[in-house]
Formats: sequence, C-alpha cells, structure tokens
Amino acid sequence: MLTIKQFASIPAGTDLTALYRAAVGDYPKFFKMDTACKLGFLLAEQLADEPRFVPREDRAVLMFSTCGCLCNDLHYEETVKDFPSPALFVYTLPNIITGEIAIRNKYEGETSAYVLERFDPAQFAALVEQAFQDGVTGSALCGWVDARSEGDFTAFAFLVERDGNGLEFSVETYMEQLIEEIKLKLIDALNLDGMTPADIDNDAPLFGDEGLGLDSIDVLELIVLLERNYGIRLANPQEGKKVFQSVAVMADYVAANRTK
Amino acid sequence: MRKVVCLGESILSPLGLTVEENFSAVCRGISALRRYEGMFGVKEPFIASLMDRPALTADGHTFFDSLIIEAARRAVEAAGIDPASPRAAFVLSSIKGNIEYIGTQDVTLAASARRLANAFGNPNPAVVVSNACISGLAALLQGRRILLGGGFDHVVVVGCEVQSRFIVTGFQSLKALSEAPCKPFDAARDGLNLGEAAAAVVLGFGDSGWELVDGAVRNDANHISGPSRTGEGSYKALRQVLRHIAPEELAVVNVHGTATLYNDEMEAIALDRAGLLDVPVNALKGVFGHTMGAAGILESILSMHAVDEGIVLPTRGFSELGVSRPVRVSPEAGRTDKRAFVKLLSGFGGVNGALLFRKGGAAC
Repeated sequence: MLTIKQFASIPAGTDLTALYRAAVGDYPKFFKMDTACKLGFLLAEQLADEPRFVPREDRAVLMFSTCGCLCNDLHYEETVKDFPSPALFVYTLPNIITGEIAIRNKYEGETSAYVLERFDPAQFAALVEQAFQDGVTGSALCGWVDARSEGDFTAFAFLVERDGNGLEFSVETYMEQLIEEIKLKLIDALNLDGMTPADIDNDAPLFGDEGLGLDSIDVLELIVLLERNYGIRLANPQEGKKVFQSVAVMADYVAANRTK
Repeated sequence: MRKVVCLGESILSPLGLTVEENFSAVCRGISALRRYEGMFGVKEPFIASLMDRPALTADGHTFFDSLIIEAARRAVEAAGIDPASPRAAFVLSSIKGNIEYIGTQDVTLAASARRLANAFGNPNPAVVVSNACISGLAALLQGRRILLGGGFDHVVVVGCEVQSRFIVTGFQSLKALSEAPCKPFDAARDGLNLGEAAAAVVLGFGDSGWELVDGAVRNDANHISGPSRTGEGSYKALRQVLRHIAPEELAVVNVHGTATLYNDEMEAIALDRAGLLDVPVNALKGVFGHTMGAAGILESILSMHAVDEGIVLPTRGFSELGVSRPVRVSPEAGRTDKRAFVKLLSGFGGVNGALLFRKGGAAC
C-alpha cells in the first residue's frame, strides 16, 4: 500500500521569488529556472525529509502536467529569430523539472515527466503506483505542476512511500483533500465567519432550509469561486443548480473538470 | 509474473515506411542524412535526416499528428488487436510534438495524445511520456508497467519527432550539432545530427516472441545538460537490468551514441563499470540522426529485427575508437547466435535508461 508522508501546494499567483527568499535563499541556480522548474523546486523543498543531500537511489521523482513547459517555450521562441538562447532552450524539455529536483536533493532514482490531458486523480494515482514496480523505488516525490504563465499555475505534490503511517495514497484520499479545500474556500467566499469545515456535511444540500441555506446571490459567488480556483466556467447559472447540490457533488465536478 | 511481449511494430523514416525497408537500409549502410540550407527558415545550414512532409501529411492533421496516427495504425494492424477496446491504452513518446506551430494553435503533447486515441476510437485517457532523449525507452517501460498494473490487455506505444526551427536552432545554440554526418564513438566525432521518424510497438501478454524483460530509469543528479563524468545514472540503470541476465548472453548493447564528445565517453564509462566491455556495441544515429522521442522505439525495433536475423548491426560513421574504455563497437555488420539485447539511452535532465529484451519461445 502506498501512503502519503507529506503534501505541499503553491497557490496560483504566489510570488515565487519571495517564497524562495523566505524558505531557501542559498541556491542561486533557482533564478535560472523557468516557472515550472521553480514550482517543482519549491514544492520539493517543502517535501524534503531528513537527512538531506545524501545520495539515494530509492526515491523517484515523477512530475505531471498538461501544458509541459509551454510558458518557457514561448520565451524561447521569441529569441529564435535573432539569437536563440541556449539557457532558455534547455528548459523547453518537459523533464528538466525532474532533473532540477534530482540535482538539488541528490535523488539518483527514477525521474520521469508525463503529460496528461487533464488532472485525473485515478490516472495520476495509477501511474505513481506503477512506478513502484521498479523494485528499488521505495518512495516517490510526485507532483502536478502546470505552469500556464508566470502567475497562472497549478502546483501541488505528494511525498508518497510504501507502507508508511500516513493516509493511503489513492483517489479517495485526493477527494477527501479536495472536499476539505472546497469547504475552506466556501467559508471564505461566502463570509461564513466562525464556521469550520467540520460544520459542513459533505452531502447536505447547500441551498434551502436543510443545509447551509444559501441563496441565489451565493450561486454567483460559487460560480466565481469555480472559475478563480479551478478554471471552470459555468455557462449558465442553471447548470450551477446541478453542480452546487452539495460539497461532495461539487468536488466530483471539480475533479472531473478542473483546468487548474 | 506474466510476460510482456511485442505483438506488432512499425517504423516510418526517410529510409522507408516499413520495418523491412528500414532494416534493409541499415544493413546496406544507407542513410538519409544530408545538408539543408535555409530549411525551416534556419539561417545556418545543418545536416539532418528529414521525411517527405507533403506525402505524409494527412488532410486535417499536422505532420506530427499524421505520423503518430499512421505509425500506430500500422503497428495495430501488424499485431491484429482492437485499438478501440476499453482494455487497450495508448502511450505517446515525444519531446516537442507540434512545437513548430507555437503561438498559432494548441501545441501541447496532451492535445496530440487525445487526437491519437480519438483516431482509433479509444476511450482511455492517453499518457505522454516526455523524458527528453530517453522518452521512447521510458514509454516502452511505461507500457509494460500499465499492463502489469492490471486492467489492460494491450498498450500501443508510439514515438515520434519532427524537426522545426524551434528544435534545430536550440541544438545549434547549444553547439551540439556536427557539420558532417555524425560519427558515434569515433575519435573524430564532433556532435550530433537531428532526425525525423515515427515508430510504434504494440505490447501485450504472451509466451513467445520478444519479451520486454525489465527496464530502469536513473538520474545522474549532477547536471541538467551535461552527462555525468562517472556515467552514474547509466551505470545504475544497466546494473538494474543486468540482474536478469549474464553479459555473455547479450547479442549487443544498442547504445545512445549521439556522437557528442561527452555522451559517448559517458556511455563507455558506464559500459565498463557494468562489466560489458566484451559485449558488441552499436549505435544507429549515423543512419537516422537523433530522432529524439522516436529513438528508443525505432532503435529497439531494429535491434529486435537484427537479432532475429542473427545479425549485429553496423555502426555507420564509426571507424576509429575515440573513447577512453575499450568498448567493442561494431563498425561492420557481424553475426550473433545470442537472443537478447540491451537498449541504452541518456538525455538532458540527467536522465538515463536501460531496457532488456529477450526472445522467448521456440528457437527461430
């Protein structure tokens, strides 16, 4: 069984240089990296366990995205007509993010980069689990880093190990985390001061008298919440009625349709 | 454990559109490497192995998407499987896919993978392995893992790279290209040539035929573009697959052999450390150039075909050993009665991979 030792995420819009200065500060190679590599590097710093910087072959680094390194590809393309930049070209390879993490942490195990149509928790979990077929791999730093532009990205990662003490690494665990996250965002967006995620039942109706008692103005807030946090555009508010039945239904919808 | 075997293969390259044509060209020492001036709007001339674009571009598709669909179609036909089955999956290997259209359309590998699966009516989300120059090898390994993970009967693994101003200028900027046809492992080697190709393998379960015995991917954890001076990751990947076989049972190690100074020297060190100095070694970059996302699949298929025929393929471009270890590079075609080989690759990002293939079943 695979278990989660640690989880880390970096919210879209985060100032990565500020985060680097606060959390690391002594690795100037950071400034040469493209946005995707900076995100991968910073996630790996949050997930790194002791002892650090000791060469190890049993740790794999598996990174996933939809757009590869598109953001940097555009920067490189701009230089092509005059003086093609070798420093930018190197970062047009989608797997450089795994190399940067391996170099920093001396992870000498498997490193792989994957491009998927969208973040599908079941597919993600299956691919990570398959990497453990390599008999030497005992743990994996696996992450979804999709950098669409310098400020617009999705970045989260797990440190997953075999038979640890943490939660089981599975689609269910991912959904539990997503539900918790959506509850926090709901509380924040609707100014439900004093409420905690534990106060909201996963399956209780969000509208009407039984559940949270939200109204039609709140529907508009939820539509904004979906677009801002998950890149989901609801064409008409009628669709919202289906999606906003409960937090659990919302989470299923987000997992299936999120673009960030 | 059930055995994962190759059920059908295809190769599309400038040397031919069938495995047989390509194999014959390699045996005869033919190459499509030639000098291009002004191609793709690139200012400096370059040597490359390029395909006939207009002839191979299907209506409504880009050149790249046309090639991956056609390569998959031919491999699927050779294997005689149902690609629309929910128990079939697609794995695509490429580094830059449709990058030549950057800024004008969706050039992500994810979009190409969707079009590939759609072309066959396959319902499963496709996986793209984009692991620099070892992508093809890593994709074959991924195909094996998907099968062993359960739920699937067949995996269609497709590798492809087409060239463009984007890629050619990038390698020029890195000073990695040779101004002559490349010379793998040779004393006078001075860089690589780029190439275009598509290749596909259908993997499934079986008891006979070419078995994909095991594979490993290891990182040097040393530098994002420079190969390790000690061949660390390549050696570790080799060590992992050599648990299953003695070196004397290997017909050949088909190496990366890009003909850059550092890659070939690094591979020689790794081969030495892994105890493979007595095994014949060959490289195919002098024939096809560096076909990037296709290389691991293209070179594996040709190695399978050669061993089937009792042949160790020649290393076009090689004449005088130019690495520090006495590796047995085959300048000419040789004979072999062995029934297994290792495919070896390395790439940017410090990544290295080794795959072990063995022919099972009755003797041929």
